[in-house]
Amino acid sequence: MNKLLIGRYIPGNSFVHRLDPRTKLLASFYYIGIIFLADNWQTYLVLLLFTLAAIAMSKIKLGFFWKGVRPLIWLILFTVLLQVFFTQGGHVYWHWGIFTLSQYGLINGTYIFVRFVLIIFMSTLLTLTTPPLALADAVEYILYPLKYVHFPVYEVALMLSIALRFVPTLMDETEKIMNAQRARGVDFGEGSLMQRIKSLVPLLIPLFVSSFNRADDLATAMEARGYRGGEGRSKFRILKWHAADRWVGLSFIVLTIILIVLR
Amino acid sequence: MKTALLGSGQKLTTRKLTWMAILMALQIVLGKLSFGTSFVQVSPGFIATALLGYYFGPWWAGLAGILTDLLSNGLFGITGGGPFFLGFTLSVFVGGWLYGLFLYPEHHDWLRIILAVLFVTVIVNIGLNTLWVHMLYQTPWKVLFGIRLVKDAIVAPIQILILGLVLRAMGRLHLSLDR
Repeated sequence: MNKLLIGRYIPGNSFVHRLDPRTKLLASFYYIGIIFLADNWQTYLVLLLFTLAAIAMSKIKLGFFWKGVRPLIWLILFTVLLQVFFTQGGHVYWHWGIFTLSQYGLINGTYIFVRFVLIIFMSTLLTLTTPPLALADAVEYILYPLKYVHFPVYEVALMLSIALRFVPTLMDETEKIMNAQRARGVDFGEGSLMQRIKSLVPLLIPLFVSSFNRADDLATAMEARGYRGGEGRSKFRILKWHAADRWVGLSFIVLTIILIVLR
Repeated sequence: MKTALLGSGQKLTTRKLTWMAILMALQIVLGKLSFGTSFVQVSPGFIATALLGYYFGPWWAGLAGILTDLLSNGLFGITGGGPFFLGFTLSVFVGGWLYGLFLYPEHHDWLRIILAVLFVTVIVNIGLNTLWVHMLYQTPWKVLFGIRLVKDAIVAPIQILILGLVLRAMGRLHLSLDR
């Protein structure tokens, strides 16, 4: 638990850092959509160059992006190996039972690996260059049109901010309860599966009780300070679109056209 | 179930808002923990999702799931053990929705708990998530289904047991939203 890094934002003043968080969030969604257009080495090369250019513009070392890949390396290798040994077609190099090592399997395995890495690089770029609170603001602005169908946009935005604020607090609380239960003899990492399941209950129940007490205290404090719902509240952080955001939009349109042409 | 579908469009009071926000934070925190043996690992994050359904019903639980998925991605860059993908966000919505459908308002009998976990396992874990992995990486269907069926056949009874123990303890402690 204590190895976990909360928020991976690296402060900076690069072109990517200065972009509006809405642009970065929407661009990340869009990128994952257009990556499906890539189906040959030329299209993957274009996507790779585009992603590396975006990383270079963030002025963050490539090593940080590899750190984003590392926790998923076994999942990536497992998926690539499935692809390599179960795809058939082209020249067959090796065959044993249900496993086949073929030309298409190797090519597809490489494409899947590159696709995995590119998606992780792009989502890492978003989280490394955008503070979590700015991301919560971006989500609020994106949800804003739903206000017209009576969706509680302001309440949802407040929920996001409260949840973000309490993640570190609840992580500390969990650690504290785990240590308290360890001191009473509970062993979370030893014993049969059944014993481990049973050891989870003395962790979860105190955690829920203390969390709900916190939620009650917070609600009382909010109402005591006059909170009456989100409608009409002013904002501390105001988001504004800039010319750079329009350039990013344009670059994604150009990228989409290139991918469609090269397919 | 009718109550769950119609009654969950409840007005959001300040207390409900803070409870939901705290449960969303717990979803993220518990999602980062895992327990079990080297062969089977279970993350207790699903308990917070089930509690959102238990207290707030299908629609709010589904919405909270979407928001948590976005937040988790913002904080850690990865969600649910993989890179961010809207398909998995939809899975989180459906998971929360199903828990709400069976457990709202504050039901903790074993039959509902078993049905909730089984529906989530079949529709979300085996169905939707397999579809997303196939779409993302073109992994062969047969291989994916084989692996997921074995894993979920082991994990589902564990989840039923944990959820049952937790929800019944919550009931005994009168940890109700309307207390």
